[in-house]
Amino acid sequence: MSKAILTVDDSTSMRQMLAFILKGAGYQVVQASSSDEALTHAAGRSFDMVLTDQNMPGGDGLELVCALRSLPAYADTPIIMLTTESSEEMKNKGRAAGATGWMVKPFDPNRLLEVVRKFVN
Amino acid sequence: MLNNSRSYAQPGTLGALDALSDILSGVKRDVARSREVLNGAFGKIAARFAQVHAIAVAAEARDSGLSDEALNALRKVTDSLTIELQFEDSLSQLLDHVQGKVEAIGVALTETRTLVSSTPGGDAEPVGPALEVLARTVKSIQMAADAAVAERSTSSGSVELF
Repeated sequence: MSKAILTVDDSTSMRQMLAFILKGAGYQVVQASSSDEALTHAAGRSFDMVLTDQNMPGGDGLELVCALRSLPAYADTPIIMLTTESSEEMKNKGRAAGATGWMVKPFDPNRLLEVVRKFVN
Repeated sequence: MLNNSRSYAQPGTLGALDALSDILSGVKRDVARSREVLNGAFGKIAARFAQVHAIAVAAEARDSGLSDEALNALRKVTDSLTIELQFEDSLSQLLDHVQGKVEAIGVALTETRTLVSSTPGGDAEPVGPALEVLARTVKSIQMAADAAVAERSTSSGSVELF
């Protein structure tokens, strides 16, 4: 059974883009357009990895990381921030929140797959 | 919105503040419209990308008769489109920042209008409180600017694993 990845981004085209890349590489992809939707998905099933944007209406990506880390099922799940934010301050916040890594948009699709394979396979 | 001017207020000052509020409302509408146009345009481009991507995937999966060179070229095109299409996200966030700044100025204008309206005739102009409002607004806008989108080049971004 293929590994499942939860992608969280308020941008429709970004979600589509991630789905193209990840499905093309053989992963199952579940998309969420907000932090709340992501938490609903996360409560209903388990994922092998979470890729999340930072700046979203409602709860932001860092809040989502904290919320997921508080769930026992997601204590060790790789969570990668995928965001246009690139400051050290933000990365440090990500690290403190429990994110596994920080990838700055625009991302290279091959680089993204390298990171996904590193954690998921 | 043009409000009822009190007799002791400076009609010129209030009029100017109301005119600025109207201009800001126009800017807000422009930002909202820009977002609609942006989403529509990128949606169409993304749909075309989906078609090209599907062709590339199908060509790789089957014996399409395409040479390795042609397949590599197709793969490079889709990879490059994947990066370039992500600028919709950057533009969308820049619009968020513009919207945030416009809203901060709108709040400052409303507060300033309240100050000017409540100043009895003959008293000194509420310069001190108005300057405080201005300083707060500038600080708020600077904070929004600090959080502005970082990546603006067409190269792909960095990766850091913790």
